[in-house]
Amino acid sequence: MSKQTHEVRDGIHGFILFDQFEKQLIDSEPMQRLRCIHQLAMCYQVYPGATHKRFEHSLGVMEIATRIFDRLFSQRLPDEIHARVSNECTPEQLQYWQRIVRIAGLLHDVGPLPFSHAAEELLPAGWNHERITVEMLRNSELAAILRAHKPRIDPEDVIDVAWDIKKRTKTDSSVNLSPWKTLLNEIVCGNTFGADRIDYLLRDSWHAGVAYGRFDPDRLISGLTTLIDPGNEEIALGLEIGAIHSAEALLLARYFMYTQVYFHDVRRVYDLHLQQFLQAWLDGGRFPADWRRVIQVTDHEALVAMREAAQDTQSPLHELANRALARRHFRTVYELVSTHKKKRPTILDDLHSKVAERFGEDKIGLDHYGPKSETNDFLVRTEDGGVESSIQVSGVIANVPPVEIGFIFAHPDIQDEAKAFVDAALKRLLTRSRSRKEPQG
Amino acid sequence: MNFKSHIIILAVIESLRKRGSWTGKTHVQKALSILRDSGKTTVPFHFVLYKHGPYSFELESELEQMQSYGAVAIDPNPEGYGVTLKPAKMAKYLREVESLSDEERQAIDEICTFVGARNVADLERLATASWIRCQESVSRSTDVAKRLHALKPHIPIAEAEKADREVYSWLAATK
Repeated sequence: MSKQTHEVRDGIHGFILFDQFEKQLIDSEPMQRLRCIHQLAMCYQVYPGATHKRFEHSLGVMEIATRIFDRLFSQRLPDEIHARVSNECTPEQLQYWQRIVRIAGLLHDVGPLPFSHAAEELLPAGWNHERITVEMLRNSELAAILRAHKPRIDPEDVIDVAWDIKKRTKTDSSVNLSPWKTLLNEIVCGNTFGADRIDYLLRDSWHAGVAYGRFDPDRLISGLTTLIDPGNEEIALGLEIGAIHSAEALLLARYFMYTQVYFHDVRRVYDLHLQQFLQAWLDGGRFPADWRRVIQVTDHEALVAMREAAQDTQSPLHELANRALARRHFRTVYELVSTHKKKRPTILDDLHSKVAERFGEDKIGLDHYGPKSETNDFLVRTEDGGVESSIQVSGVIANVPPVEIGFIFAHPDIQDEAKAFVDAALKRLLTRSRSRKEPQG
Repeated sequence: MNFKSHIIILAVIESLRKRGSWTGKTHVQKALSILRDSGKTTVPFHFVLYKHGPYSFELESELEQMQSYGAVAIDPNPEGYGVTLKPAKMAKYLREVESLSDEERQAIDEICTFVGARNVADLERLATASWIRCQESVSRSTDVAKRLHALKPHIPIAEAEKADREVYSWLAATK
């Protein structure tokens, strides 16, 4: 008799168990492709251990999403909440929805481009990896596996739970999930407690070898609860007050991982060079919108092309490939700091204009993200049974700063000259802004 | 840097505060959504129907931008829910580089008078009813209420009708 339960050993969560049906999904071509996609693009050029792939992250999200689901729904919900979702979560249906949550976690990002999201801008307008994932859930062999399950699994249920409602609304403004599906969507994609976020923070920090991303996921998950938002009377995922310190640790972990790993200046410049190389390498400079063609390409094909170009001095891609592979990457000559921005809000753009005019656009790079605070404001059930905002009950959460980065990069051949120019220009621009005589915009 | 958007947000915050509102993010979001529906002035933000009614991701990110250079500050709401917004030091800078017409200011004052004292639940109902009328072109009050109830099943039909009547009166009066 064939084995009904399978397991893999995961460095973050220990054994992850799955059944024969889930094994079919895991063994499918789209899922196996994720073994060839780096989770953090070329971050391994900065943190050599960060070579992990999206495959193990997907398994991790399935595991965490299941733990959250079981924590929330293994006991009867409070009456006021049960009344709102009773038509969708009868005891008989709960097993189906647990299955949906597991699959949504597993397949939540089955359509990434090579090097994950570093080159997303090279997709045609209106396309992103989420849309490619959805196309695959509807049309690839994954859809056939889902539909063949007894009872039949509707791929649209998986999509409703796996596609972050915030991002989905930006693409499709007519979408309106039921309160039940909104809760399940939050389990997988939620900004604060989503399984995706919990897994990637733990996994990325472990592989990068940094301590910043660590927090106590078990305490956090054990404190999760459903409650009614007193502001608008809707159901929400919240936290028992006893677990507030684990949420504080998660939010600080997120802040530090963003500032120290995801937005490390050299990591960001590698993303820039990767995008430049892929743009020059791909037919027409873009990825196709057709998921069938997207999944034919992985990091492996792109890296082989890059190595060939780096070895061939006659290749038109030689210089671009060398930037990434021979560590001839652009160097940071300016990093935005909040005190500069508060003196002159347009400082990054103003400085970039001047330095690009002086040295030429092709020798200078610009990178700007944020400011973005994400959402730290979630609901907390206090000891007296009341419901409060997290920013009322936690001074730490109220003061986690938004993330903003701004870099100006220069070709290594002009690094010193560009840095001296930037320092002098910065001094002039900040002095002028203090006088407030020059219109800025 | 989109200073025109910022001066509009600043004017809404100042007008709400002048009217004694606790000036949460929801007040600013829903005020500008209803103002856009009214057509009284150009509101340079794209809105979508999100979890809690009309919402602009652009407006949210411009607000973060204003915080980052110190035009707006955010404090926990002393009344115990969400955050409260207030002008900060660099609001002066913003007023120097951008301005609003008298018509724009008047339109902002009118919507802030309408929404300033409302709680979050009311704001969501009013803004969603306004959206259904103006963006989905539903004109009969019973149909607006039905749609609002379908979107938010916990809002009884009678409450939905009340919200529609209120916002419709305001929209009609400001024409």
